[in-house]
Amino acid sequence: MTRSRDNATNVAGDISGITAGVGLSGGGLSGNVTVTNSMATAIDAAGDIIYGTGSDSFTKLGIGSSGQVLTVASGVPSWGTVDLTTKTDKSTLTTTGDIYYASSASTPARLGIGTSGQVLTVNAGATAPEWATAAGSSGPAFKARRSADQNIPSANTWTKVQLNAEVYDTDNCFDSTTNYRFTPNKAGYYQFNAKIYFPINPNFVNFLALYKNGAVVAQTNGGTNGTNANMAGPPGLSDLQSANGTTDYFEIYANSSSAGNDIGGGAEQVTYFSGVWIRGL
Amino acid sequence: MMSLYDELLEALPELTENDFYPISGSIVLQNDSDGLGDYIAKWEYSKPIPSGFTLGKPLGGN
Repeated sequence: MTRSRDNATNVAGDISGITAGVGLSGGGLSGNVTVTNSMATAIDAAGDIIYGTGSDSFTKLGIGSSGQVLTVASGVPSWGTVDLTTKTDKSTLTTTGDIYYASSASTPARLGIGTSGQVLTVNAGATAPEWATAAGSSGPAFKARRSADQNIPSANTWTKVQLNAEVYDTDNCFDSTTNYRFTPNKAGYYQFNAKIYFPINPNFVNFLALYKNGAVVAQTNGGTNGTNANMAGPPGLSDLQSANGTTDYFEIYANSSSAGNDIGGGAEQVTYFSGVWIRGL
Repeated sequence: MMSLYDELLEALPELTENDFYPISGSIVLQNDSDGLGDYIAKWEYSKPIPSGFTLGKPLGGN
């Protein structure tokens, strides 16, 4: 059914006029009504996004590329890139002092904090970092002495010096009660020093030797006799020896061409044997 | 009581102090101060060890 405009009578629901406003032009009781809001026409491609640029104004943001995320740049929305592979997985770090490292390619792992004084180093397999006690910083040191005279009853016989008192023994490696020997508990090179006090006599010669595992490795002499007139003074020696840190042991032995001599004992400067770890093997 | 050194000199009168000399001697006597006494630690002398003497430390030592 058509209705004549001239004789039409408005009934409920009829539109009697259009009033122009934002997004519309024209209106009134006749003529065309034009939709002027271009938001719909601004969208001309799949994925377009409309955002406001100010009061009653807007613009279009075309779709980004695959994997991009919507972000803000210079105060307006934009598509951007976030490198998720560089993000730290915070759940791996559970404790104060934790260190984050790769246990294999692209596999994060946690290294808990070490103890006081430890240093960060590489493990034995060179596969991961680890905390460890600093190596090469120190080792055993000792000085032992003879507390009283020790008689050497037999001539020309190497006799172990019974160093029965300790001046210091940092790692309890010196046995001053049974075997009178130094058995270091750390592998490395050791500097040894020894001196024995023998009575000086023009008719006999005295010897001092450093023994390693029961065999002489360094030797010196003092005193004099008719055959070796250039020898004089109480014997003392120094030497550098390696030790495996487990079974190697060191002792000093004395020898006199005259029977019944006493090795002097007493304060630490009389008859002594000392040593210190110098460096690792 | 005679020492091992004296006993060897008595057993082989040709021996002299130089044969026991620590640097060049052919015989080494040793005492490890463990109560086991003197013993022959090395014998490279031109003649064998005299009868009644043995090379090495008595049993029971360190």
